[in-house]
Amino acid sequence: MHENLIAYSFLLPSLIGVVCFSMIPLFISLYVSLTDWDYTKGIGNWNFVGMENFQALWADEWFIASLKNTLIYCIVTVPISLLLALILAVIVADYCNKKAAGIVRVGMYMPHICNTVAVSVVWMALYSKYGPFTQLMRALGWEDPPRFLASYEWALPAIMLVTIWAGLGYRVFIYSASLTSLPQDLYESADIDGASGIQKFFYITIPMLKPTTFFLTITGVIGSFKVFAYSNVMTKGGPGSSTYTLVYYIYTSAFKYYRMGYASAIAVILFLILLAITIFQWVHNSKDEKY
Amino acid sequence: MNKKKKKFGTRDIVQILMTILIIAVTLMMLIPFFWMISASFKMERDVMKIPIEWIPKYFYIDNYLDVLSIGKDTSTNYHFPLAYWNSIKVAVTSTLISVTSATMAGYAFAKLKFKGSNVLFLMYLAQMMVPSQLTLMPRFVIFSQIGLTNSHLSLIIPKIIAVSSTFMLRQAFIGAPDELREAARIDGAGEYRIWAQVMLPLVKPTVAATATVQFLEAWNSYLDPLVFISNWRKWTLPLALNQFVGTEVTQYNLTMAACCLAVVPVFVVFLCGQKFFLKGLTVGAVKG
Amino acid sequence: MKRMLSTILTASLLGAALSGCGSKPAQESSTTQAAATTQAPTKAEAETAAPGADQAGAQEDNKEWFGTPDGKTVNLRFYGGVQPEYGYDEVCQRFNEEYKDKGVQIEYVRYVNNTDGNLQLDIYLQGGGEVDVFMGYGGKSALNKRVEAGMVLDMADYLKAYDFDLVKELGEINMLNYTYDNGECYGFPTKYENGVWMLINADMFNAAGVPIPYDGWTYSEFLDAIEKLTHGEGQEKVYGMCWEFNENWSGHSAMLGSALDPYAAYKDADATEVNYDHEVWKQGFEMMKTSLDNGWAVSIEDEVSENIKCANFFLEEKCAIALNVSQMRLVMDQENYPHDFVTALVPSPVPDGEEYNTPLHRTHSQKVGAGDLICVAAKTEYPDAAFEFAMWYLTGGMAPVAKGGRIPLWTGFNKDSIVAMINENAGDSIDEKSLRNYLAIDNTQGVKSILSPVNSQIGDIYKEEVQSLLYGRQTVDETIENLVSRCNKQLADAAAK
Repeated sequence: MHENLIAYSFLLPSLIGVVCFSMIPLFISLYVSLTDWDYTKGIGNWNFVGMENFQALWADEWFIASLKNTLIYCIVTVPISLLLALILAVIVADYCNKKAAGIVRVGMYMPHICNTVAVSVVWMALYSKYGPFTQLMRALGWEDPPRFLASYEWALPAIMLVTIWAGLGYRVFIYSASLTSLPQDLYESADIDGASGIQKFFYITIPMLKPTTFFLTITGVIGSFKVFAYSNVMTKGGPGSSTYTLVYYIYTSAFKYYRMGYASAIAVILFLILLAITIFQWVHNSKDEKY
Repeated sequence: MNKKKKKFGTRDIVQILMTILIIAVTLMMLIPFFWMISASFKMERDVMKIPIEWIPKYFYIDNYLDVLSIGKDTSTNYHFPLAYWNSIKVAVTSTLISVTSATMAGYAFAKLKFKGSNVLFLMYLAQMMVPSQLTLMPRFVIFSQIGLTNSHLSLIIPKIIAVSSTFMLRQAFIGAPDELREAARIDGAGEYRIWAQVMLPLVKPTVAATATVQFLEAWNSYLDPLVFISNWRKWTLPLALNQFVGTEVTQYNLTMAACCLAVVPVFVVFLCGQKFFLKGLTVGAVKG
Repeated sequence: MKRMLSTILTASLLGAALSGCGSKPAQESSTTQAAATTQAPTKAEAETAAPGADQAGAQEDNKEWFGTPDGKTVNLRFYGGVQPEYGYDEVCQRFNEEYKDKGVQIEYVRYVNNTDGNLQLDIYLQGGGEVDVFMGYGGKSALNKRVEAGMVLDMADYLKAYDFDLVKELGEINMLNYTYDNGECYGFPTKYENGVWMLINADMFNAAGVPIPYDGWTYSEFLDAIEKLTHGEGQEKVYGMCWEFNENWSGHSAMLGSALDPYAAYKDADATEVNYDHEVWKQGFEMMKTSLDNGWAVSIEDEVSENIKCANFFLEEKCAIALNVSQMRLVMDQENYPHDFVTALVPSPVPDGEEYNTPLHRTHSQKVGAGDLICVAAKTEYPDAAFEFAMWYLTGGMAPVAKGGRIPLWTGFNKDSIVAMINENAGDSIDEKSLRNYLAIDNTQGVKSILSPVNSQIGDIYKEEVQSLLYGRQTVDETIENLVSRCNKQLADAAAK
C-alpha cells in the first residue's frame, strides 16, 4: 500500500492535469454528442437526443467526404513517407560520408519543426500560378500544370505532398537511429555468404526494422487522422469538399454552424477510430515487450 | 557503419556519389525555406519573376521593418515583438512544467509497481487519441469557471498533462538499469531521491528531447491560444502571424518576411538543441 | 482492487463532469440578473440627456460623467473588422478628446472578419471583460446568432431614454432587418451601402468605347461590355470582370438573386424551400459561366490559387469591374493603393427580359443595404458609456471613416456634404455623377430579408455546387437540381428539430 502511495504521488501532477483538462472535457463532449446543443444557446441549454446525431452522420455528404478524404490521406501519406524515409535512411547510414550524414539528417528535419501556419503560407506561394513549384513542373515538361491548390483533382495530393515533406525528416531520423542499433554480425555473415546490398536490405534490414516501422505507422496513422491546419489555411476545405478532413469538418460544424452536439458526434467517431488503433498498438507492444 | 574496407575503389566512388545525391535531396527539401528567405528580401514586383532570382540583387530590409512595426504606433493592434515575448514566456514555462510532470509520471509507470498501473496507462494513452478540437469548448468552460481565460496560465497549466512525453520517458526509464536503483535503495535513499539523483541523469537525452518537443509544440500551438487568449496584448506568435496573413495582405514579400520571423527562432533553438534532441527522440521509437 | 479503483475513478470523473455542466447556467443567470439591475438606474440618469441634434458633429450632451461613481475614468474597447488606419484611430482620438473630462476613453481593436476572427469575437463576448462595443458584419443572420446567445445588449430602453427614434433617424427601410417583435434593439446599422452595386474603371470603359451604365444594364449588355474590356495575355492580361471566389460568396449570390428579392434564396417567408430552381437563377448561372468560359472574367482556379482579392486586383488595373462597393475605402486609399484612374459606382446587371428590366430592378432599390452594425456587448461593465459611444459614433462621430469611404447612414448627414467629403479625399478619382446616383438610390421599396436557421449551411452548399458548375464539372441544370435537393434536405432536417 505504501508503494502505491508513493507511485501515486509521482503521478499526481499529471493525473490532475489529465483529469481536469482531458477526462472531464472528454466526458462533457461525449455527453454533448448525444444532445442537440447549439453553442450560441448557452452552456447547459441542450436537449438529449440519443443517437440521432450519429444516425444523421451517415446521410451527411460532408461527413462522408471528410471521412473519405481522411482515409485517402492516411493510406497514401503513411506508406509513401515510410518507404521514402527507409530508403533515405539506409542510403544515409550505409553509403554516405559520416560528416555529411549528420548534417543531412538535421537539414531534413527542419520542415518538421516549423509552425504549420508558416509552412502552409510558404507552400501556397510555391503552388501559385507563377510560383516555383509550378515553374519546376513546367521545366520538367508538364506543359500546362494545374493550379494545384485550386483543383478538385490536385488539391488533396498537393496537401499530401506538403505533409510528406514536413514529416520525412522525422522518419528518416528515427530509421537512422534504429539502423545504427541493429546487430552488425548479421550483416557480416551475410557479407561472407556473398549477399548483395539489395538482398541484405530485403532479408535483414526490413525484418529487423519491423518494430520501428510499426511505431512509425501507428503514429503516422494517428497524425494523419488529426490533420487540420493544412486544410484550414491552404484550401479552406475546397474546392468543393475535396480537402475536407474529419477535424476540419468538426471545426466547421462547431464554430461555423455552431452545432456542438453534431460536431462532438463526429469527434467521437474519430476518437473511436483512434482508440481502436491504439489498442491494437497496445496489444502488439505488450506481446513484444513482455513486461 | 563499421564494415571493413576492401580497398580504395568502387565503394568509395559509390560513397561519393551517394553523398552527393543525398545532399541534393536535402537541399531540395530545404528549397521552400530558401525561397521564403529570398522572397522576404525582395520588393513585391520581383517575387514571382521568372527565372527565380535565388539571391536577390538587393536586400530590401523594409519588409521586415514593416512587419515588425505593425501596432507599434497605434497600440491598438497586435505587435510582433510583443507576440515574440509572449511566445517565449509561454513556451519556456510550459516546457518546464510539462517536462517535470512527465518525468515523474514516466518514472512511476516504468519503475514503480502499483495497483491500476495498466488501466491508468491505457487511460493516458487514450488521451493521445482525443482530438483537441473535441474538448475545446468544454475546456474553455472549465477555464472560465476557474478564472484562467485571458491569461497565459490557460496555455501553460494544461501542459502538465504531456502524455506523449510521459510515454517517451516511460520508455527511457524502462531502459535504465534496475541495479542502480536497487543499490541506491540499499544505501537508504528514498524513492524521490532515487528519481532525482540516480534515475533522472540516466535519461538526460530523452528529457532534452521531450523538452524540445514540448517547446516546439507550445511555440507552434494555434487553436488553443486563439480561443483562450482574449486579449491581443497577450497574443502569441502564431496568432499574430495568422492575423497578418488573414488580413488584406496579399504581398508575398511581406508574408514571407513574417513567416521568416516565426520560423527562424525555432531553427535556432533546434540547431542548438539538436544533439540531445535527436538522440533522445529515438528512445521511445526504437524500443517501442 | 484494480476494478474498484477504476470504478471510483470513473464515478468521480462523471461527478466532476456533471458538476462542470451544471454550475455554468446558474452563473449565467446571475449575471443576467446583474445586468438587469444595473439597467434601472441607467434609465433615470440618461433621461436628462438631450435629444439628438440634427447637424453632424453638433451632438451635445447634458450628461457629463460616464466614468465610475468614485471618479475613475473607464476605458472601453471597440472591436471592428477594418484596419485602424481607415479612420478608426481618428474616430477614437476625437472621442477621447471630446470625452476626456467625462470619464470615458475608447480604444479600437481590429478583428479579422472570417470564421476564426468571429469565433474569437464570440468567445470574448461570451466571456465578458474584453469587448464593450463592436461592429458586426454579416447582416441579420450573424446578429441573430449573437442575440440568441445573449451576447448583445438590448438598447431599447437606452434609446427611449435618449429620446432617439432609430426608425425615424435612420429610415424605416434601413431598420427593417434589425427590428424585433417586442421592440428590442440589439444593434443598429451605421453605414449606407448597396452591396450589389459595382466598382468600375471608367477610364477602361472609355478606352474600350463602352458607355458607363449609370442607370443599370442587363446581362447581355454586361457580357458584351466585359468582352470588349478584356485584352492582353499572361501576366499582362486585363480582365473585364473579377467575381469574388475566395472568402466572400455572398456578393455575387446576392447579385444573381437580387431580382427576386425578398424571395431570392427562399420561396416563402418561412424559408421552407429554396428558390434556386427559379428561371432568374438559371440565367444568372449561365451568365457567370459564359463570362468565365470565354476568359472575360478571372477564372475561379486562378482566383483561388493566387488568393486574389478582387478589390486589390481592380486597383492594380487588372480588371475593369469588381463587385466590391463595400471596399470603397481601398479606392480612396491612394497611399497604400496608388492608382490614377476614375472609379464609377454602377448597379450590377439584371437578367434579360421585360420583367426585370424596370427602374426598380435596374438600380436594385429593393435591396436594403444598411451595414456596419454597431452593438454593445451584453457583458460590458459600462453599458452607459458604451451606449454613449455608439450614439456618438452614429450621429457624427463616424465622420473620419466616412472620409475613408464608409458612407454614414444617419439622415443627419447631408448628402452634399458626404459627396464633398469624399471628393476632397479622393480627388477626382471617383466619378461624381455615379456617386450621386449611388447616394440617391430610392430604397423606399426595400424588402426584409428572409432567413433560415441553417443559413450558413445553405451558403456552403451553394458555394460547393456553384463551384462545381464553374469548374465545368456539372451543367447548369444539374447544379440547380443538386442545389434544390441538398438545400431542401437541410431545411427539412432543421425543421424536424
